[in-house]
Amino acid sequence: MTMKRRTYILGAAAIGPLGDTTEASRRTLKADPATADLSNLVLELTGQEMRRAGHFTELAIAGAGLAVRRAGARLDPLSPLFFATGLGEVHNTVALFKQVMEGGAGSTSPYAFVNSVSNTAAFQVAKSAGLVSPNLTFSQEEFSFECALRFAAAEIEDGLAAGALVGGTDELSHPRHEHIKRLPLKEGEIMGEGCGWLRLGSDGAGAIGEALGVVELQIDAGEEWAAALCGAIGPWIEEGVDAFLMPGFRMDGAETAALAGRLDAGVKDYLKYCGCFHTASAFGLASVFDGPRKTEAVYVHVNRNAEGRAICAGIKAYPTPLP
Amino acid sequence: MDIRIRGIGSVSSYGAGIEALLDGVSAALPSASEYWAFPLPNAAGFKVNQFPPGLFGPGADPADAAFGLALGEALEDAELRRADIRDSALIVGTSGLLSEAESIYLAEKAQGVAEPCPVGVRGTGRAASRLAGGLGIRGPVVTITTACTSSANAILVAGRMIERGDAKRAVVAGIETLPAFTLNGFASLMLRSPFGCRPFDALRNGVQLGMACGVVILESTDLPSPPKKDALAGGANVCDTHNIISTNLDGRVAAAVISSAIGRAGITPGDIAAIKAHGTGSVDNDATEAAAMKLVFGRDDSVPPFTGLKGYIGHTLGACGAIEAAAFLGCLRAGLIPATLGFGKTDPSIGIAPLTRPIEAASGHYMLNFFGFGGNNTSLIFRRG
Repeated sequence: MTMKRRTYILGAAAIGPLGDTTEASRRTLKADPATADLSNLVLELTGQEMRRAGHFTELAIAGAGLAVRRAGARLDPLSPLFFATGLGEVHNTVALFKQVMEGGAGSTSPYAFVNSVSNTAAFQVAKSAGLVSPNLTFSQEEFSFECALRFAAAEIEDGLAAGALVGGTDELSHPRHEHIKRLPLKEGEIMGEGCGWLRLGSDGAGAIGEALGVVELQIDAGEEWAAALCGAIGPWIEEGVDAFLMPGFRMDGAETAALAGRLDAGVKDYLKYCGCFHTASAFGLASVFDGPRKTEAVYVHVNRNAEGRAICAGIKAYPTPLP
Repeated sequence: MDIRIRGIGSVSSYGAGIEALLDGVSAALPSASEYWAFPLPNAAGFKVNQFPPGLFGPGADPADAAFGLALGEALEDAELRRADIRDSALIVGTSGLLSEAESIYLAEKAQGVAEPCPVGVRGTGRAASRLAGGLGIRGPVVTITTACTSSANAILVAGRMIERGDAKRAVVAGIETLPAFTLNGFASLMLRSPFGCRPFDALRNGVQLGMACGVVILESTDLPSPPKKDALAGGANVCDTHNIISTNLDGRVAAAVISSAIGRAGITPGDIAAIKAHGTGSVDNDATEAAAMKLVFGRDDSVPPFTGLKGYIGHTLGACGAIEAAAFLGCLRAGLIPATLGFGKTDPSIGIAPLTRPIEAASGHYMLNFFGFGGNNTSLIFRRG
């Protein structure tokens, strides 16, 4: 049997709704945020104004650009790109949808339609990163990013690619009463948006971490679930290495605490920085690498969906040189 | 890659079933009609390939109903029961299913809701989650949404999952219900042809859109099965960032994806018996595809026989990967490679012409090409016999 290759993390970036891109710049959200203005960041990263791209695409481009830049080494143009989104482009799509549905649409903007197409953001990311490579967009509600991460890692594990770019992006849309029809949220849960990107590779030189795996369970509550989850996560946790549970927005506090206790893990609440959105796990996992660290640590993101399934994704962060 | 194709099913503008589709293809019978689902400006005279009225029960969601029919046929073809797909993966390819949002919008409007929620709940992946829940699917559920290559990529992803052992069997569905939103969008891009689909024709001038659902059941050859002759032998996807809505006319990236698929199948270009082209009938797509085929196969007369299916069932966007795979496999089983409905006159700038008469299909490798918005190009290689 062929030994599967390790999947190293070479670069990472997370952007939250306040436009923050580093741990130091993050602020806890107290209420539903407005969307961040990323035009300057996109201009800096790409050297051009994305006048026809929507905010959703800007988010994706900015996050991917930062992840590529932070990895340092040149990105191989043949690296596959795996992109995840739950709702996709909302602003342009809603505006165009209203135009069409409310009659008399006449001549609508072709750019509005192009921006609404499901894989436009992934195309723009590939273009700005100089990729000519496989390019897939996954959309599976709360599990979108985990699906993309699983396929990205598989390409590297199986030796089909030496590197890959994987990310997730979602944008919020006001007003809240409309947004929560698209993404049901409980009272008190903050609407969010953002992106998270990981640049992966098979060569560990300069790596900041590694992807440990993605496991999906067909049960999402109760003792059987907790036992199965611990069974799946257990092999990722090593003696003497700090472990942290990162609860997704469909997890509640009590079950998170119970699970963390069972795993002897700490809890990292990243949602307070980005709010709730389908691909928040991408933000959470990528934000692990925002700051320098003295010791290695394992981070496991756990979430569930409305269909009675749970999913967990694990990464390990390596120590990095302190500034 | 050696993935058994266990069963196929389809719902198209010819109605439910591969047989109905083959009857239409054999008779070279057009199946497009004027769009009836929603009043659209500037729509008069434009024909689309729609599900026949009355095919589903009153009030049925067309995506769910079409999937149910196509899956039923695929299971019967596979000689499987629903219980046999419980541990399978469900991989859906679709461009977005906004028709569901349109139905919600219209229903809310009819109820007097002042500002209906204009885009539906939970995103593109919701349909797959719902369908998997209804079937009791316990395997991975994934939605691929890469515009016109969505369900071709779903087949590719399913093949990889089986190859890796992440699933033993996968149900792949391509679903397109053609919302008014999409028809309007293609009109805004001036890509809809008032004359219908004319693949590779000198007078081609745009696409003829369609709705469809295709289901392909793939599985590991480790699983026991009645004798089956068809397999997924390879495939590849490459994104061409030349232009988001238009292909690079030199065909280099399209040629790269074709060559990569051939390589993944472990064969050479000379092993390709025939090609199911993407063949949308748009000026640039067909020119690019022809250029790519000539680059890969060497000379004009070295390009294998090729055909297009969009003259029959329309360009079914996110569904075209699965529905055209099912339709083409159905044709191969019937022993024929169909003629290209809509083609009449060779374009001198292209220099090659698709099949104008059906030819006999033999054992061998067949290539299926799919090119989409966002520069997304996918080639699949099927092996028969």
